[in-house]
Amino acid sequence: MRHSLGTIILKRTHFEKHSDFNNRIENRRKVFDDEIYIKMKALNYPLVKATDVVKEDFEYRGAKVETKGMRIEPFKLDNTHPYWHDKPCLIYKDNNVLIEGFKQAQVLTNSVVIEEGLPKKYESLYDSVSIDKENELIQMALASALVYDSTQKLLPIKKDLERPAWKFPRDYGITDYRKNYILCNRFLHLCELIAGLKLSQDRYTFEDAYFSVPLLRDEDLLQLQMRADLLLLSKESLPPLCSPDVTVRTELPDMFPMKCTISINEENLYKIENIYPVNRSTIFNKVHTAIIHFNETEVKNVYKTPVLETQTIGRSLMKAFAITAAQARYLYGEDVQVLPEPVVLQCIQTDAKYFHFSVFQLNTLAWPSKTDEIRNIFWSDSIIPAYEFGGYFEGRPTITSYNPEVFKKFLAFYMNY
Amino acid sequence: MLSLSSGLKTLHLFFRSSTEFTVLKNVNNFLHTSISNHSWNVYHLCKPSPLYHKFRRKIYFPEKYTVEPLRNDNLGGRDPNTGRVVTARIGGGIKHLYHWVDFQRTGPTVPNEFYVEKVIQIMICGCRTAHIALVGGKNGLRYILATVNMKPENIIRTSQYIPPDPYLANDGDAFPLGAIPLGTLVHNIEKVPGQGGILLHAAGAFGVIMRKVNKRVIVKLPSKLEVSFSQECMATVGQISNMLHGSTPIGSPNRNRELGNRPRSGLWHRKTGRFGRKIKPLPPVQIMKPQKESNFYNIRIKLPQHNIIYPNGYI
Repeated sequence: MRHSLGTIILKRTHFEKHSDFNNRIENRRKVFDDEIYIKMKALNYPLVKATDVVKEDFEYRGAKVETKGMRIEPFKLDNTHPYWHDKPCLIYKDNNVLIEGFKQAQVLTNSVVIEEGLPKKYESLYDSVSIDKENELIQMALASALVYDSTQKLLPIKKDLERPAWKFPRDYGITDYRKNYILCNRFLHLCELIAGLKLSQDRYTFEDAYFSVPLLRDEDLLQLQMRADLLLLSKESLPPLCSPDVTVRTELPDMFPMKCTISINEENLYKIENIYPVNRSTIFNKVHTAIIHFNETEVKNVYKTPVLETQTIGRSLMKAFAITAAQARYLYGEDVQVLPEPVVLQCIQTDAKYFHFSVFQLNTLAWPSKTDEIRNIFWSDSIIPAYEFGGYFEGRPTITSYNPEVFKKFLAFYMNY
Repeated sequence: MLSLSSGLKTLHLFFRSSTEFTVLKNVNNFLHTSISNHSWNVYHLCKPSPLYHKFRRKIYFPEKYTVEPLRNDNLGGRDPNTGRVVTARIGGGIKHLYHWVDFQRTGPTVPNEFYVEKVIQIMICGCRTAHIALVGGKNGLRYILATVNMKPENIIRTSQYIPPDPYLANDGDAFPLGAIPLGTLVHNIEKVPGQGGILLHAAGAFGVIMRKVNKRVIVKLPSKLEVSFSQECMATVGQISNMLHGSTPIGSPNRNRELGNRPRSGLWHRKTGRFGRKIKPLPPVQIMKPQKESNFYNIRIKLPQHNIIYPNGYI
């Protein structure tokens, strides 16, 4: 068979195939170790390894010449990057979600729930002011975000878990970023109309305010890098809702057997810095309320399962903590631990359908070492829907079972001072 | 096979770089391997690495362990190096993300100390038959294979210490085989201590601990074969989840295509066992040992393919 391979005809037809086949047989061999090395060494012969004498990679072609062009190359994400550190840092961003949800956020922020629901101060604010045709105006605001906006962009791919092979037709419409943006601005506009000129002059709005707060948790570096999509600023800060001594004998939830920093991403490219985005020359430099967007395409679990309800509540706590901590370091210096006066922030998180209202009071920035220490306080309302269905139904713009409670709470947050 | 004398002629011609020539001096010690010479269409030269999951998919593993589901490419039964078809009846199907399961359970080697973890969630991975459990502990998050009785917020222990009396083991606990009582169901068994679990990963699979003899433990596998392991081999307690997977029919040929299997030819049929089956005696107990270091060593000779000018009469 071997000799027949060398015939002229086969060479012409299947030369590569035969040479491949031949190589396959001959390129793998087992070498028997006959212990010559030991025998020769006993006779005192000088021995050198063959691989030490001979070059293994012989270059047949000429060496490469490196050239440099005019274009400035971007930094590589390696050790050569200027922001590289060997010690990794845990970085919590807008798209992250804590695995244990509200329980884990409580431990990370050292905060405690005293009573269920929002503080009782807000009950008197719900029905304080109203205007004519209020319900119609609110429904118009909802419809402008959900139905009447003219943007037509590619929406994310739909999947049915029971029939994974089925491909839905791709939809065009209003994206979640756009819906949240319009709805929050419309609601704010209505609040300004209702509250009047005097009060609305004391509320400045700030879009996409960026905060960064480095912390030490469990001997690990943790940096919160957050964005408040809409931030209301005022001249004077909100008064504390209760004295911080209430929290002396309370306890944090137990995270055993996990660490409190579990599921937060480790990164080597980072820059440790304190950022509070407001300039010192302005008078309106106190935080009042933060409006946070929950974009479904942005916020995800690491392991790509749907986000739970406790995780959204935990997200608003983390955001509120980051914003107030940046405010406290701005006011009292970067090394402050127990605040001389607590900082209060109201927080609203929206999905363009569901709303979560909460209030946060920052008393300390210290990591808890003893049981008899001051802690921060969090008041949280349950997540409520603004409507059941919003969009086109049989060709007509419809909003079904509209819930007027949502805007009442929104207005009460705006009016509070 | 080549005879050595004829091999000498060709080898002189083939070997170009001088490293290979040094090997040539010991020509008499050459022994040919048992590569199948007559299989012309076999274009993959070695067994597929775990990167190419049985020629079904190619998985892009990062350097560090992550819980994040991994990207993969469907291979369609082809060898990723040569691009030739190796196995027929593979191709198409729904794309799934791959979840990296950690099969190595390590713990403290001191009495009365355990590495404790908590079950967070039980999930479905499209790339394997068994369900998987997301587990969190002191060192972080990871996936393990879920057992039948595992539920969220269960607590799981691991230790590598072998006590005089065996542990009272729960589902999902991992201990050395010597520390688990007789008659318990186990899975994810190591062949050699410290290697990582290899045996029994499929849905509904389990082995039974039969007896212990001279620091070795004998386990009965689902094929009724009895295997004796070292008592330090780690194993996880319990039966693997999704145990109805084997008995549920695929349902329709379309469903089979969704799973990534292409249709059969229709000519060949497996024997149905209508006239009974031949009952053979069970084979003797197989003993698992680490491989011996042989005094052979393999070499791999690289050749620049298709660029050699051969003299007449030789290839």
